[in-house]
Amino acid sequence: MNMNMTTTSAETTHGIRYLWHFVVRIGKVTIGGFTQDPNIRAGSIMVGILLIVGLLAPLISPHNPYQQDLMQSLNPPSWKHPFGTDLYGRDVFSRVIYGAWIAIKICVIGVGIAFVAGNIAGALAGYYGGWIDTIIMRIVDSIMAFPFLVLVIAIMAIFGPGLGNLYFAIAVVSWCQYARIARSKYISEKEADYVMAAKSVGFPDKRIIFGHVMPNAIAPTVVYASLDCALVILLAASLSFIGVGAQPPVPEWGAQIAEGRQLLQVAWWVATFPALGIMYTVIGCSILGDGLRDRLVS
Amino acid sequence: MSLEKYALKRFVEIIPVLLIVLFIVFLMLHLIPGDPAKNILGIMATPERLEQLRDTLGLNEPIYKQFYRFIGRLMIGDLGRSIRYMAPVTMLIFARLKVTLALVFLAGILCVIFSLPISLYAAKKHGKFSDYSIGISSLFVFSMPEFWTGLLFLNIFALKLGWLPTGGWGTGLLDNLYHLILPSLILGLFLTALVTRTLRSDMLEVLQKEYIRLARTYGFSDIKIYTKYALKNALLPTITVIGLNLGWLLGSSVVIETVFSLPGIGAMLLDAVIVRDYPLIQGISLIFALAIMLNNYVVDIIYGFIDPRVYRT
Repeated sequence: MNMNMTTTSAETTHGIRYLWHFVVRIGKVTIGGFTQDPNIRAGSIMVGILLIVGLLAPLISPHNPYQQDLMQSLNPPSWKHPFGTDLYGRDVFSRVIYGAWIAIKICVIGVGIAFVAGNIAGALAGYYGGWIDTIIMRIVDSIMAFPFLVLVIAIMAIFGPGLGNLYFAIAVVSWCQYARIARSKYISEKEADYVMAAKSVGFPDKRIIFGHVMPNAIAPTVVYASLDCALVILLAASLSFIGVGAQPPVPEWGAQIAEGRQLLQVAWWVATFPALGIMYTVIGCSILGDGLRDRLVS
Repeated sequence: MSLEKYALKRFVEIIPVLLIVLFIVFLMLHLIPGDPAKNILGIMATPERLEQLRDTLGLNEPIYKQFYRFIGRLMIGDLGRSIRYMAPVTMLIFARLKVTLALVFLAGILCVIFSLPISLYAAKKHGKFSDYSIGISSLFVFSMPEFWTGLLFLNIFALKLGWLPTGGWGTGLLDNLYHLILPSLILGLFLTALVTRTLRSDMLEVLQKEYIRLARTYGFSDIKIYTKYALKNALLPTITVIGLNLGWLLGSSVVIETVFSLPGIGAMLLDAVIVRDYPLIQGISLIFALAIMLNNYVVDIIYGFIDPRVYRT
């Protein structure tokens, strides 16, 4: 029992140490690329600003994003309200800033769960092959047979609208792509000499998969995660716009555009600034993903 | 292996996926937290009505029997009855399918018309300023959510300028096409932005082929080389890439149909979600999934037909 415990913790520390090396490598690539690769430079600056704005939303935003003031309804942009006010007199600037926080949550929770689940499923399928591979990949194929948006809408219809279910729905659908990417990487990696060496030493599968192969196989999924954030932001905005995602008064960008939809002719600022927020985030994530792909994968 | 055998083998491979797809669609009714009947009818429903609905949905039987019945009914094209419209789901879908098909088809054609010359041009100017600016502008178009572009175009071309209708569906073929111009243009633009990047590298490959170099050494004009030699060989990768993005296109059609109030099955899906018409949601999701599976299958077979190496090895 005691022996068992120590080996498990040794494996865990090994896995963590290897993964830590990988995190350091990504950090080095990003910092190294910062001076050499214009894509990484532009992308990480854009994403960095988004992170700062989103995480410090309560400090930066001048007004409470939920605070209604019907006397100030539909004010055009001014010094007091840089992005104007909406129909209920809420400050659009503050709402856009809180929208960044929601976008970060969607990416971290939705894409984060999909990333972890997809990597584990892909690792099992690719490393073991056989019936495990068949089962996992048939499930992946089936989920990917549905249009992404349609399946997410169906899941939201089952469990009801709202941000919490949106994270869940996104994760349920988007882990498949990670599993596919990870699987193909594991299939090629498992023939490598270092895996043979680890096997002949008698390391358990768990340690080989998570400690040895994963740090070598995780890069393409990291790159995809950055691009996926862009897709997921667009998807979440679409869902909130058509009314099955985040519900008003939550300051999600898509929901804000839906609120400003009828006002576009009289108060362009209500919908335009949230749309610019979406565009900024999507461009930032895509550029960063492109830059990381050039340096990490090839 | 012959092409027929290859087609059969691919078909056999699809069957388990189809079964899981059917099971996912089946689960859409059964994963509803709590009592599905209560969820559909609301808290105010009388016990008799609840019991009646449970009976029509077959919720009183054991689950494996329900799945078995679900498959059995599908075999004869019965997807159940819509709770809201009180009509067979199959009938409702087929009445509206043509709108969505026309929209997606037009968007696909527009995408070929846009993306083929654009990506060829980008590949030709590889590494130069125009290549770079094409990349930037496609990223820019991609970053705008399609509903936002839809709203912008609607406000500019329909409300301000009055050139095009604000939405809805016309009577007669020409009127319908007139109503489809804006929605299909937006979908086509987005699809173009999505596929241009992939296509550009395909085009680079085409332009480096030997027959292009040969044409160059003959001293043919650039226009002749591109229109006569490169374009023809670039068409197949273009159509393949668009086919691969069909899922994205169908998903976006839901949003675009809502913005332009087109009476397609995408907009109907959203209506069904709002009134909790689960049989209709199941039916439409299944139709979308079947369309994508059929598309992937056909693309595979066409590829095998054109390039027999796909199945000979």
